[in-house]
Amino acid sequence: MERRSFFKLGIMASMGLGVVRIGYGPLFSNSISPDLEHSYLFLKPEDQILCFALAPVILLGALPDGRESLENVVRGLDKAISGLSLENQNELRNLFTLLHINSFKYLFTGIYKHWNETSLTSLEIFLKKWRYNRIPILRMAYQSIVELFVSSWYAREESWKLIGYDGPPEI
Amino acid sequence: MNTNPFDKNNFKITDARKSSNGGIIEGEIVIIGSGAGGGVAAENFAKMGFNVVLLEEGSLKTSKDFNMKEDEAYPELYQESASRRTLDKGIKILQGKAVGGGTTINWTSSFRTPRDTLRFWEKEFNISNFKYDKLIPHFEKIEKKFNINKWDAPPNENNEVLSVGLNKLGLSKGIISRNVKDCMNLGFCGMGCPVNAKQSTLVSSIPNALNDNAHLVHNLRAIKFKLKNDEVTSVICEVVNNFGHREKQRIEVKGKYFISCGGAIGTPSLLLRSSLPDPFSLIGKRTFLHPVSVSASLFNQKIEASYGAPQVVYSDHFLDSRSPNGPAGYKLETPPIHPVILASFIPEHGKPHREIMEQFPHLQVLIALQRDGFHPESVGGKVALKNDGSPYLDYPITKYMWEGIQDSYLKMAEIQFAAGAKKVIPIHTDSEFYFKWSEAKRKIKELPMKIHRARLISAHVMGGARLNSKESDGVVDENGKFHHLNNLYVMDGSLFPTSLGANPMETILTFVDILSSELANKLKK
Repeated sequence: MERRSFFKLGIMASMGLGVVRIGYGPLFSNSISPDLEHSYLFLKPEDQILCFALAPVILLGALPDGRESLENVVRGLDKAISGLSLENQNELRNLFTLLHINSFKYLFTGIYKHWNETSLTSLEIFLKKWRYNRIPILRMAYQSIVELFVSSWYAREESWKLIGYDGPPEI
Repeated sequence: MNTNPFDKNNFKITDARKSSNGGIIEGEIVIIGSGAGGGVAAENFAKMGFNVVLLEEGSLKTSKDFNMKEDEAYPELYQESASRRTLDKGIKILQGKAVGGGTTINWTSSFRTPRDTLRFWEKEFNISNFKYDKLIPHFEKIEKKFNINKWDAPPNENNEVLSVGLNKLGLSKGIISRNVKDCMNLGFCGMGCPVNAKQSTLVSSIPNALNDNAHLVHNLRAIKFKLKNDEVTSVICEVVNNFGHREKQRIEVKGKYFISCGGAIGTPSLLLRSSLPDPFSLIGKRTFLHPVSVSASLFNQKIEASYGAPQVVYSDHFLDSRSPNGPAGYKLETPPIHPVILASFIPEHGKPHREIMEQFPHLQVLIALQRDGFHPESVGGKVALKNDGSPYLDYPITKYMWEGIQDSYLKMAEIQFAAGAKKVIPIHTDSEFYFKWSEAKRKIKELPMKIHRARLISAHVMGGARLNSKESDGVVDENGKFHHLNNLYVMDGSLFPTSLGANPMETILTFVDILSSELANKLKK
């Protein structure tokens, strides 16, 4: 049952995406004009905004304050995604796209504001909601999102000293 | 430090990315995949004077490239940047993608094929060529060749905890044999051995084959066989980039005999893409994973599971005390812990995630590898093809298997508490730290056994092109020959009709040594 609903949801999600696009026109409003660099491999400017909003919640207490670490995490994540199979990249692309469609976003995350205007509390509620969700595809999405952020951060040497990892030995 | 065999020689090595599109490479024996299977096969054929072409979709990376950093090792040496998963993403799959395949990045644990497993194959599948007693001299030969010896240095703390816990509870315990020479006990085997201590096929069989004039072609993925009548005439390959994504260039590799050694996802998918005869629909079926559940614990003392031989102590108590087709059994071992692999596996975010990571030096972790494929409710998964021809593995977890997984959480927690753990946490979205065994016992029984809640992982993909002398029950015969063609063989972990119930490297090395020596001798006559 669980597996069957998983596949159904996958199909529904992609169909939903099509329907919403026809119904609501272009995916992104012009009001989002982030002042970000364009040298990212996978993340589009609107994805970067979403990632910048999520990183402090997913890495709460781990990530030092300030723009630099945040940007390093999002860049690392962008690089990591580029190493995934094209199939997985497409899935992530679909997920990001859905998360920028207001109707989907409100329905599945409970968030109606722009990502960069959303409070940490609302983001936390959204992550929790997906983590325990009855719908396997949302649990899976939670898992993928969190994995990307934490992998990106803990790959960085600056994170190691904070957890007491001495790094590779000298040989 | 052992020397890097790739430093000095004028080996015949081609980086496919630097070849021109539409190129043709020719040889007598074309071996697809350079892991435990392909490495040994290449060595045996080259030694007998055959013109061997050895194809590998990963890159040639050697000790000088292995810098013990996760962010470089995973994308460079693992399939899909170590993010490969089963179709429903319920199980993460760690699989090598490098010259040397899995042997380049595994944790060196070497086990003979368990007697129970071989007995089961004989009884259930009538496999007669691979009885334990007949295999003993072959195991001995492989153990000598790959320097497989019982590890005699003291275990690191992570393994010591398992040892103490097993002793306290009166459970059986063993010391693991490892394929290492002058091992420096670093603990970074999973990122490639930086000192050439690990006797992977990368530093042994493959350089030996190259010394005997084999031709290694890397960054090249086999796509499909071209057939004429009952024979394969060539294999069409595509060049892959750093990320394993296909490039435009194609290369055709022609030969007289073709040996598929791409592992239990690579081999079945290559056979499927080639649309080979499969009258009983067996290709890709019965693919096994040894699904692994994980239990973490915290100790007052430092554990530092990042350092030292990763796997030294194991227990087969919950295999040996259960008949293979009885309640689901599992092998207990320890994993090495490094920041990325740990962080990515903790099913939390925010503060709870942070709280576990902060205890990094005090974390102790156990893993349980489920023995799959022996029970009617454990028939494994199915390798099939996506629209773009890339493989997926559909591996549903049955109720029977969930019972084994739940039981393993209980037993691992009990062992950790017995060894003096302050707290234990099964790696599951709904778990929390438990402070006493009695509490753990009660609460683990309530954890929902569902995918994406229990976090599962696999490092052993087996089956999918199983051997059997009967066409109706095997993709290949007991010589590894594909039943429906004259010159196609399979020699890798996909031969197995069940999982092994033990880390598979030594079994693959041994089986392929037997099959490839026999074939080389036969063809020479």
